[in-house]
Formats: sequence, C-alpha cells, structure tokens
Amino acid sequence: MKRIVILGKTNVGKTLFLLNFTEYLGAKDFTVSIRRPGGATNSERLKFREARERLVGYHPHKTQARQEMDLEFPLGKGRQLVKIVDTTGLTEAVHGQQQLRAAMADSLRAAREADIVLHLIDASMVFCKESPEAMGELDIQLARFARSKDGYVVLANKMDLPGSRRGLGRIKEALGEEYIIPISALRKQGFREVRRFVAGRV
Amino acid sequence: MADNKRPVVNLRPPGFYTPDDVYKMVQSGQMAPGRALVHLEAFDKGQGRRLAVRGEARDDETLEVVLAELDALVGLTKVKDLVREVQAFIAIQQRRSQERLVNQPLVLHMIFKGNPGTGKTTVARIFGKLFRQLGVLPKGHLVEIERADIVGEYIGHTAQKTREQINKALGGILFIDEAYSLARGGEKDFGKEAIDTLVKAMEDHKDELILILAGYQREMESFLQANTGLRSRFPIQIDFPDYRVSELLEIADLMLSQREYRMAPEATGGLRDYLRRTQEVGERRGNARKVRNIIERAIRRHAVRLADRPSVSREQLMLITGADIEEACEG
Repeated sequence: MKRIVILGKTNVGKTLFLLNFTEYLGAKDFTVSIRRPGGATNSERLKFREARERLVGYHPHKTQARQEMDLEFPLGKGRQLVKIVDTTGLTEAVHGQQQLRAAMADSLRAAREADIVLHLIDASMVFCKESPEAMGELDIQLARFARSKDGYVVLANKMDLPGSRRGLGRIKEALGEEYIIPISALRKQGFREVRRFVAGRV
Repeated sequence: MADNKRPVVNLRPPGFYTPDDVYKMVQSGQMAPGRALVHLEAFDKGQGRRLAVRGEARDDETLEVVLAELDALVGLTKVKDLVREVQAFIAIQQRRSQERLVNQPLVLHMIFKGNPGTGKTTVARIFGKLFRQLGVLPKGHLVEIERADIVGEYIGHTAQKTREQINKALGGILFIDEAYSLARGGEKDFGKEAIDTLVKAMEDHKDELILILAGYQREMESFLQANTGLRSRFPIQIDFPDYRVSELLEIADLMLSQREYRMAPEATGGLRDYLRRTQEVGERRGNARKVRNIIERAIRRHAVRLADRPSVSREQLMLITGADIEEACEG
C-alpha cells in the first residue's frame, strides 16, 4: 500500500487539505488513526463537518500528532487502497516545546517512509518573512529531500486569499515550475489536478 | 599506548548518522527540522551505507552536513567557536579579494594539544571536510601518520619517506600524532630531517596542504619550545580538554542509542561511579575512547548473558544492565 504523506510548515493547511481532499475523493466519513510520538494510537471515526471543527485551527501547531487514514483511491473504474498521512507542521528553528519537537521528529520519520510527498506551502504568506508559515529555507530543504520519491509535488495552498498569486510566482521561482499545483484546500480548488497527479503514481 | 592507535570502531565516524539519530536530535532540540532533512537526504542517497567513507570527503557532504556533524560532537565548545571564526575569516578574505583588497595568505596549520581520546583525530577529519567545502582545500582528506611512517633508517631515507606521505596528503590534511616523537632522538636522529622536510613542504605547498601536529599537552609545549621556528608557523593552537564525567555519560548514551541499546538506571549509575573513580586517580581521565571500549565490552557481555536464554523480550535485547557495565569496567 502506497503512503501519501502531507508535509509542510506549520499552519499552511495540511489537515484541512487532508479532510477536504479525502471527502472530495468520496470517503463517507473521516476514519483516522492518530499516532502520538510515543507510539500510542487511537482511531476515530468522525463526520467531516465535526472533524473540521475539531482538527483544523487558525493558529499554528494545531496538529501535534500524525494522523493517518486508509482510503480507497478512485482509479478509473477501480479503486486502490492507499494510506494518506497528515503530519505535524515543521518550523525553521528548533521549537521550544519538547512535545512539538517530538511530533516534528515523527513528521520527518513519516517523510522518510513516504512514497508520495504532497508538500504544502501557504501561497498567501510567502512574503511575510517573520510569520512561521512563510516559505523559507525549510521548504527548499524539504523539496530537495523529497524529489527522489516516486511522487513529489508542491501544493501552493490558500489560492483563495489575496496576495496568493504573487506568492505562487515566488514559489515557482524558488522551487521550479514543474512540481507545483495551485490549490485552495478550503474551497476544494485544484483537487482534480492533485487527484490526477496521485492517481498516476499509486 | 596500544589503544591509542587505530581504534576498532570509531565512536562517531564522520557523517555516520542513522535516521534514528537524526530524529532523536530533532526531538532533543539539537537539530532544526530543516537541517535534519539535509541529513536524511544524504542518508537516503547513500542507501543505508555510511555517509562518509573514512577520511575521504564526499561531494554530497554539504557545508551544512559537515557543520551539523561538528555540532553533534559532545563538548568541544572551544573547537566549535574556532570553526566559526575560521569560517568567518575565510568568507571575509574571499569578499576582500573581490574588492581587490590586500589579503593575508590563509595559514591554517594547527597544533592540537590534549590527552588521548579527547577528539583530536575526529576534529581533524571534520576540519578536512569543512575546508574542502569552504574551498580552502581541494580534497579535504586526512592522512594520519606517526613517527615510524616518516622517519627512516639511513641518510636520505627519511626525506624520501616524508615526501611520500606529503604527496599522499596534498589537497588535504597531514595529521601527525605524537609529533614530539620526531624530536625524540636528539641531534643525530633522523627525526630532525623529517621536521625540516615538513617545514619545507609547508612553504612549497602553501595552498594545498594543512599540517596538524597533535599530542599530549605538556610534550607538545616542550617540543615547540625546543623548535622555536615551528611555533610561528602554526598560528592555530587548540587545547582539547579532558571530558567531564557528564560529557562521557552523554557520549555513552549517544553511542548506545545509535546502536539501539539503552542503559538501565543502575547501569548509568555504575558507569558514572566508575568514571568518577578513575577521574580521581587521574588515570586516563576524560577519555572518550575508554568509554567507547567499555560500551563495546558491555554490549558483548549483554550478548553472552542472553545467548543461552530460550526466550528474550525486545526490551531485554535493548537493555544494558548494571552487571553488564560493571563487568565491562573491570575489563
């Protein structure tokens, strides 16, 4: 079973993307197993609406554990079981909280185990250098790391927000055009391209 | 000094991080996530084998990887500061030359003073890679020699042997351990000839060779005093202090976790007591190599202890007990 891993800085919209994208792919509800860094796992089945309320936040570091979901990915007429993994957002600097550092270490582990990496960048915040979600060195390093995977794509998220078009241009400059799909996880825009990209690689 | 030469297993061979070490360092706050990705990338490129072949610097070891490697060494704060200084100096020199300002030639020959097992060779090897990344040395490899490698038996032999070693080291670092032994035999000894040849090579190959002389603190001092011309040719002198007990324990922990073992609390306590005792006696205190040998012995004791058991749990397979350590300390 291929592992699709969602990675990126904190507060770029990884969890919302997971929720809305799996809903878009036709999942009935959100069956997630949450794996804490220590190894404790618990599974939950939530309605999408409820999941959005509980798992998605406006502030950085809402997700502090790995969230995995097994999903039947639609492929033409058939379906293919895949594992889609949402991870704790990464930061440029060492984070002060031990718990978050452990969660980030686990994100890196997930990155290594990934077959396909979906790298989310907040296109609307590219130029806000001081905010934690702004594109930075870490994104370059992540791109370099993940390019050797079966599949690697940058999802330039939050294209519904002002400033995102300019941000998208900057992302293309920094990371090279061929890897980038502009999306809005909130409005479920660009999902068809993402689905096509993933479908070609599972 | 039998155990001073060619250790069986390096405590931390350059660049050897397993992904688990990287995760651990991120978790403990020693490494930022971005730098961790650099390491993981290098690891995956190497497909599970060692990142660095012993001594030889490799292309995929970026400056960041080399610096992270240095950062990961326990203690050695002065060395780390010095590296930043040298790095800044080189950067500024390069910028000055862009502006066509007068540049002092970069002289980076060094003297390392410290007891065995305080990290001299490890640091020398990292320096090689660092200087290669900074563009100071074309290759950055390390050639490690001692008296017997360059001092010959008849007239003319020494110069020839010395030149051979120098040629091997061109583009990298020539590291001479227990350098004072070159001056050991007095006036008539061929060691003098070796020193002269080395000094000449330092002039002739200014841009492609860095010489590091290493040895015990006191012996190095008297060696330099006896050879006044030498001191001025080595602008960088670094002291390698003995490790503190807490640092040695950290080294032991790191080494075990790299191999997916861990110490039971009483094992840690036992090791601490032993290290404190030897510290007081003054016999080989602060020696990382000693700790490494103890840990390796403890791992073997652990294996012997469990070999005959019909069933062993995962936990037991990882746990080094107080008794393992105690036996290992006894030798």
